[in-house]
Amino acid sequence: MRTVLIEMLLASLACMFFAIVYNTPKKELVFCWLFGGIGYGIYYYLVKFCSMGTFANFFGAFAIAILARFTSNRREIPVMVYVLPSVFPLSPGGNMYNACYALIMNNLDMAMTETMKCIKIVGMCVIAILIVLSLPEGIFKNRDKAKA
Amino acid sequence: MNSRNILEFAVTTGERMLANGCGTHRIEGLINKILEPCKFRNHEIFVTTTGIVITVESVDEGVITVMKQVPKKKMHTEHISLIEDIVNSFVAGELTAEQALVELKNADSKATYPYWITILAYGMAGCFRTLMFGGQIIDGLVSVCVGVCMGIFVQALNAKNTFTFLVNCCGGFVVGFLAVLFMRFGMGSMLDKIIIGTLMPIAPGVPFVHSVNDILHGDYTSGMTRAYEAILTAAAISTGVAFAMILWKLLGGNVSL
Repeated sequence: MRTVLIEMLLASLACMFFAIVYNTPKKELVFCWLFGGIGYGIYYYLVKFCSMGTFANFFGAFAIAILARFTSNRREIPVMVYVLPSVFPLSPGGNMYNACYALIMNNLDMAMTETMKCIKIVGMCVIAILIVLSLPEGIFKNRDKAKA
Repeated sequence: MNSRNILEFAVTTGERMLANGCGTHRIEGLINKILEPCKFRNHEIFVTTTGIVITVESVDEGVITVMKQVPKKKMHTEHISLIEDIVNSFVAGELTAEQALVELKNADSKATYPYWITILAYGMAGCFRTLMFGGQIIDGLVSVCVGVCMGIFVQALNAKNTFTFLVNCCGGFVVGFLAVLFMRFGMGSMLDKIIIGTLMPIAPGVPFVHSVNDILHGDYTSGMTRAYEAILTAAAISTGVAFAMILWKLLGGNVSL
């Protein structure tokens, strides 16, 4: 459990600094920090303790997208401002780099494996985000009014 | 109401959104929102990742078409939210088209993060990614130094409007070269972890997610453009790193990666 918390902290900090690279507004940095940590925490927990494969990415991205949707409705800021930096630890940038590097180094087996992994991860993340984004607006609005 | 002004406002909005890295379906929705209440007889919008075409058929001025090309892009989510605010106040009738256009121009020059914070962010994001990949603390420290150097390099080249492939290639080269240099002087324990962690801020993970998002939304043109961009970026970065490794081998170091 302690490793999960440490990983969450690291991931959330990475998200926050990545959000600065994407020029996120200063007031929204806290949310990127929080959502990134939560999303990666869920992913890491599922991979580590439930031995889930790529499906863990789905649940991580799902949590991020739902949280982002609520916040964006409350603060009237586009959803993607929260989603894109927060999904950074889950996104397969490293796999993509590995695949290209293996291709250049003539290591075709590894290139193929990494490419497939990359496509799987991207598919899972995007399907999760899309499902949440295509949910009707009403779900998020009503809950918001009840809270306020 | 002057349809020319409204059209100029609409096309400038689209151009700014596209230049700041927004998805095309979102831009189409936004321009629709601008043009809908203006009582044109007909309007058509076509947005791709590299340009915008808007045609309007108004009662007194006939058919007007405006086209705009957007060659260079970067991610800037603060501008996106500012522009959405401006559009919302235009739709609500608080601003006329001319005022909104001036506001757009102002929003573009709005101060963002200071230079050194952006540079540091490149380093720190790389550092935490290195630690997440399982690096030691010393690897993280090396990663900060290398990442800051990479940030300075990438920003400087981008400011000079260099060819994107070359920017990424140089970024990869700087990271590979400096990482081996640090290892040479006994700092850092795992070379591959340092390199991959530091490269994460410019590695195209998030752009790839964005592109597949576009494709599943039905924007095949812009989605494929983005996907090719992402793949080319990955290729450029790894070419740069490979060059650095080859250079070190030629210089007589024993690099195993």
